[in-house]
Amino acid sequence: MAVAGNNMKKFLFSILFIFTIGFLFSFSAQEVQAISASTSVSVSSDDAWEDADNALGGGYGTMNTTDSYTRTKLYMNVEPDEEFQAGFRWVISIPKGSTITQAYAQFYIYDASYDNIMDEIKWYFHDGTGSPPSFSSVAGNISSRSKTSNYMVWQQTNIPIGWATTPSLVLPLQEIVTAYDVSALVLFNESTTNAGSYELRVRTRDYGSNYAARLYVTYTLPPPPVVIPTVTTDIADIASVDLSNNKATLKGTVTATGGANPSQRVLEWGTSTGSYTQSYDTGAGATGTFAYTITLTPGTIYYYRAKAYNSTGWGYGAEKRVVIYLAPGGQKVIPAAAATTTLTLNKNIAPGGTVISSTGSISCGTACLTQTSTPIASGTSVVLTPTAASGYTFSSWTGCTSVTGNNCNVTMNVNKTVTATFAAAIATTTLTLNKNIAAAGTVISSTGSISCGTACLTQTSTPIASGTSVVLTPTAASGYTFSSWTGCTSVTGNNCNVTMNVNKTVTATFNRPPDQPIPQGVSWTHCWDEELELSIPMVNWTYSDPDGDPQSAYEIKIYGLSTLDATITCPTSPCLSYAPTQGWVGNNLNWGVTYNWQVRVKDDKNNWSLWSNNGSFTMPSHAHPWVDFSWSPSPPIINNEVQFTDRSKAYGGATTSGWNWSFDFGNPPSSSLRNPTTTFSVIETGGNGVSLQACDNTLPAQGGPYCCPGSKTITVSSSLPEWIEVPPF
Amino acid sequence: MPKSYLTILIIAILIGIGLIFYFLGPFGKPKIGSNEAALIINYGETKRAFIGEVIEGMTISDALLVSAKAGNFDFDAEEGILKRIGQFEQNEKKWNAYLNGTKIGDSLNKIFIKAKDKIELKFE
Repeated sequence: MAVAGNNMKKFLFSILFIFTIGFLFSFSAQEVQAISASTSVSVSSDDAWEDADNALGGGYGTMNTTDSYTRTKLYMNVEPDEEFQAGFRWVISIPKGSTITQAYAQFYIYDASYDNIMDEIKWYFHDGTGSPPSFSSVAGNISSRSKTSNYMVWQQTNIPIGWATTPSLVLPLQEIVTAYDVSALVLFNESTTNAGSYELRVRTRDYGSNYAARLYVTYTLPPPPVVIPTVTTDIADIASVDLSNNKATLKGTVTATGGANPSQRVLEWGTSTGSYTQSYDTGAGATGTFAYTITLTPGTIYYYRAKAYNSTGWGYGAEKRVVIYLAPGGQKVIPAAAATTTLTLNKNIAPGGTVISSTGSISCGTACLTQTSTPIASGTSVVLTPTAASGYTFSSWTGCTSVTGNNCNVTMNVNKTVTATFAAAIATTTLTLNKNIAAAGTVISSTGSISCGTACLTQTSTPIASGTSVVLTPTAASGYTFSSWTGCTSVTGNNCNVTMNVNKTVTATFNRPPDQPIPQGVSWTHCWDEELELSIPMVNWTYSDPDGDPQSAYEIKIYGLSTLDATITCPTSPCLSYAPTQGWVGNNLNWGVTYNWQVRVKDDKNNWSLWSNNGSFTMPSHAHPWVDFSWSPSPPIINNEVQFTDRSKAYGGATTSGWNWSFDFGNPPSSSLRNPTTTFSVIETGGNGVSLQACDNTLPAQGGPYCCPGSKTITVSSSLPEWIEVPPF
Repeated sequence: MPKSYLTILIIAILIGIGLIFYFLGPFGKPKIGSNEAALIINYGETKRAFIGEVIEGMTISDALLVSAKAGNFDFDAEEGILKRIGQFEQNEKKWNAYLNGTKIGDSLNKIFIKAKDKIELKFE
């Protein structure tokens, strides 16, 4: 990678990440929890993208999902003052207001020859709100989406083959998270300052090699929002000692600060309902009771309530009344308790869900941590119904009169407080196992969540906590072998290792044995160039494999004898015939005997077929004739008569009884005599051919007559000058 | 006729007869013409000799064939390898061919002859 200003040829690599994955987070109002998330580029066509043309706004293209070449590199040529983009897609779910503590991307460099120069790689995050941006659907509109003003510059030379890690992406990512609930991220590059040819070849997707580009983010969830304090107005105390002084102590309680301690805790009162003409601020404080004693005019009803103020606003308690009656005769008395009650609902986590009451007096949303009902007539039955928010589950109630399902039943005879507890849902994933053949074997998982027997073709696990490593172990059934896995994070031996960060699907492929071979006809070799009393059968069969695997070997049995041979390796596939050796036949097979035979075949996955059904063959009653003949004169002279003499032999007590001669350019050209004559009229280049088929007198009932052919090439001489005999010298 | 003339006549006749025997009789050495070759069959204890014209493309086998015709004997040869001449069939002894004194190891069908060549077939 060249730095700005040098003379090296510069390469600009532009990468755009969009990535989709669901992360569920848990937090409480009281604690800040760091969450680490990592994920890899998926496999859809929208997960990697490049600016297929030149300038921004030119031709955009999603990555070709079927072409491994384009899936594994991103590059382009850059002209001055033009923008180019390319990259990958991830989608990640990060709540608004989270604090990013770590963020970087990694991608796998597979061809260092193109990665020796890079310059000014700027990564921008798309805001990613709403649906994950799609390269295919928004092809030309990526540039119109909002981008962060912060960016990351990556300058690095001579990037070696292997994983390359970007500089920190915290700054631009934080800019987004500060403003948005992020459900998707688009990470891409723009460069307008450095012209030249920039290229970086990286793995984009993981198609079996675990080299897909990764994004790592660590963040903490935002603190819960500050809400108004929750205040209850308590029943005033009129102690007997105060009765004579006409004094009453008004009381209130801050049951929840709302995330910020109240700066004022006030009791206010008046003599008309809803009209509070006097008040007293007891000062700042946290949760707890505050009080103020006032002087009453006997016989006058005073209406009062408690309230507290924090940075968000005022929280009010319900209005209550206090009065000192003057009985007839002027005796002062305190009235009986009011016939109304209040129900206070607390939630352990405000955004964990909502709670509503059957009376309508409670409606506590995801911003509400506690709420006190309006006055409820004593004796009223109230049902509180919780609804968990996304990412949470309802856990339990406390303070209820009874619980029905998730509902809390409260009988309001006194003021009551109930608490609904929600829990952050644990991020879970599922693992789906597919097998190519149900009966081919079993697969079990290390977590016990997968146990797929021989009747199971596919199985989805029970929920597995995200981040769990699962090992799947296949066991082939009899007659099958395990072949391969797809979809695994890695494979060790026959085991599939899967890291469950998202829902995943893996497929176990078992191999089937070849089909049972079918015996075909038997081919014979009866006749020989030399004098041999031998007939050799060649057995034939079929080969087919349901998986298309080639044949690697076969095994033959010829019954009535010892097993013929062990495994015979096929020189080429398929090998569909076998002829035993002359020696084996001579030592083991007898004339006139019928033998059964079987074959089994093996594919290149080491699976044997079943033995074939029986084939059979019957040896001839004796050997076929051996054919031979001679002629005179030798060599014959053209246009002169030649005498041929049969020298053939028959075996097994038979005699030769039929002859069929053929002479090339002979006159006659053929003969059925045993010892015929002919005259050659033409000399053939390389000799004149003479053939003889001789048959013995074996009866047809024995398959006779047995016949064999024989042939010779005879050199015929041309006419020559006459010589004379002279005295020897 | 004077006695001296008669004596001279008798001597001349004897000389003439001697010359005839020398050139034509069993005691004469046959001459090989300028376009001729010779074939000698050596049975071991006896010999037979044949001469005749050589034509283009003529092989030792051809020479044996025309000699057999002239000498009224038959023979067997397979693939140019001599097996038998007359009653002399190779068994313990074999028929070997020599061309101008050099033993022939190849098929007789493949060895061409030319004028003045001397072929000898030995049963040895």
